[in-house]
Amino acid sequence: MVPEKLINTIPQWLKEWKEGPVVTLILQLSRNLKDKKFPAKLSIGEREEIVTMVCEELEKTPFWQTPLKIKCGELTSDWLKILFERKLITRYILNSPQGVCILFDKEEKLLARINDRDHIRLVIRETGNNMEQAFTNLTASAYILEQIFEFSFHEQFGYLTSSPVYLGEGLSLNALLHIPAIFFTRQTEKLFKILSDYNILVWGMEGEGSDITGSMVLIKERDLLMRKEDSFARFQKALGEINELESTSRSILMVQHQKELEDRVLKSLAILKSAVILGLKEALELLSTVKLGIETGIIDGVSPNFFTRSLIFMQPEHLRKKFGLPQLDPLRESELRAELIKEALEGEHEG
Amino acid sequence: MPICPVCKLREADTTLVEFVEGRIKKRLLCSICAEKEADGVRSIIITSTEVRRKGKKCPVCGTSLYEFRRSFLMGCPTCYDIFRDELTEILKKVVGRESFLGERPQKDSEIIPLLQERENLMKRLNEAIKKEEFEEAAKLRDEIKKIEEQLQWFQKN
Repeated sequence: MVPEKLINTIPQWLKEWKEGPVVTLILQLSRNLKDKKFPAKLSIGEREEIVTMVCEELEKTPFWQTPLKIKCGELTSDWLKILFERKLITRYILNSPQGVCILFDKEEKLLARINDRDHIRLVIRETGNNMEQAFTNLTASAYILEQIFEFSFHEQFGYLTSSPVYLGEGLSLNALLHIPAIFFTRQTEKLFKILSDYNILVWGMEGEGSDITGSMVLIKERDLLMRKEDSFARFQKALGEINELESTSRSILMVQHQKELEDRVLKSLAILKSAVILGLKEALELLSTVKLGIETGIIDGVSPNFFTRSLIFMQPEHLRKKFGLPQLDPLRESELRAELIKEALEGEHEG
Repeated sequence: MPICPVCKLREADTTLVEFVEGRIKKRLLCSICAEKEADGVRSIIITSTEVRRKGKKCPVCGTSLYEFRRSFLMGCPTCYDIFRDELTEILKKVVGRESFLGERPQKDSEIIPLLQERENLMKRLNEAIKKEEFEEAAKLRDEIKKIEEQLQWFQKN
């Protein structure tokens, strides 16, 4: 069962982000048990066995005090969608939840997916300013997992994962970025140059295949077979360069295009304040512009939490659950979204 | 089956579809020549079902080479040995490395007994609380705290 209060809280990894281009770091560690077929080739019964075994061991570790444990196969599709919108499960699990189990703490910063594409996928999320912390946590977690389980390890390829993309340390470094100034000043070519120099892939915030909206992008390092310390260092360097590009772009905006920026920010704010219907994409674009306005000091008096609040609660399934509706047609959804954002702007229901 | 017109050696079992000057051109070649002749996005290689059936297969999970090439997913650890050459080829091309540069996994014998000890103490603590033996419970709690500090030390290092 999914605890009801989940739908009313902002995940800590999003809530702690105040400003700057790096919203969240998402570090993922994939491991497979020795001499066992990867989950896709296992029957549901075999998967359940792995879930029982792995959960029992994981619950003994110092990772979590009292983890929330959810068996995805037992959920109805609406609750699965909630987990998906909170980035607790992937689209792959959304479509085939049988024999999948997730464990996470109430801050949603540390998450273990059992029988995702690999037997164990440990996901660590930290806000951008806690980069060192995130890497330390990951190294420690990898170490602890190593002590408990016997994993598939190959002399040539390192840790084996069902997708060879993660070969080596079984590591995937991702970050969610909010970089409005780079998009406003049309510096995207410079951005893509940095990304290709560091062998980094880029998508919209929904991950693989999604469009870029609201100046939010998800980037993913693709350096397989490297030592994890080297991957960290490279990723950190890349993030540093993106950070710099975003701040130079912001100064360009502030100095050369101040009036245009003010106009855009204030217009966006006015639309959010008075809109009656708001689509997801439109809302995201406007929210992003307003957020830039707050960070550059053009607007004040807006609740600092409003961006992250809206980001999570304006998702369709969250809206539907919040207002307790059995079904939601697109028009009604957009109406509720507009209402919700107005509330968030006024900073009501702080929590 | 016809012989491949390029190498004149192997059987032509693969269709290479090319887009040349806005027109579609189909050629029947062998699978090796088809891959050599293929020109990135402007050509498609269509493997006949017979070849799909003939290709290598993992004896443990049944993943075929064709399946691996299409989805880029392995089915089990053994697949990595079966398709080792093919994967090494791809890795060389894409990342320029073919083997792992990191460290081998290591087990430390110290942490497991600690975890077990903690588990044990937790159980005793719960029992003590049930029986309302609070002095005992306080003692146990201190011991658990000590172990947790040690565990935290391990986590940091």
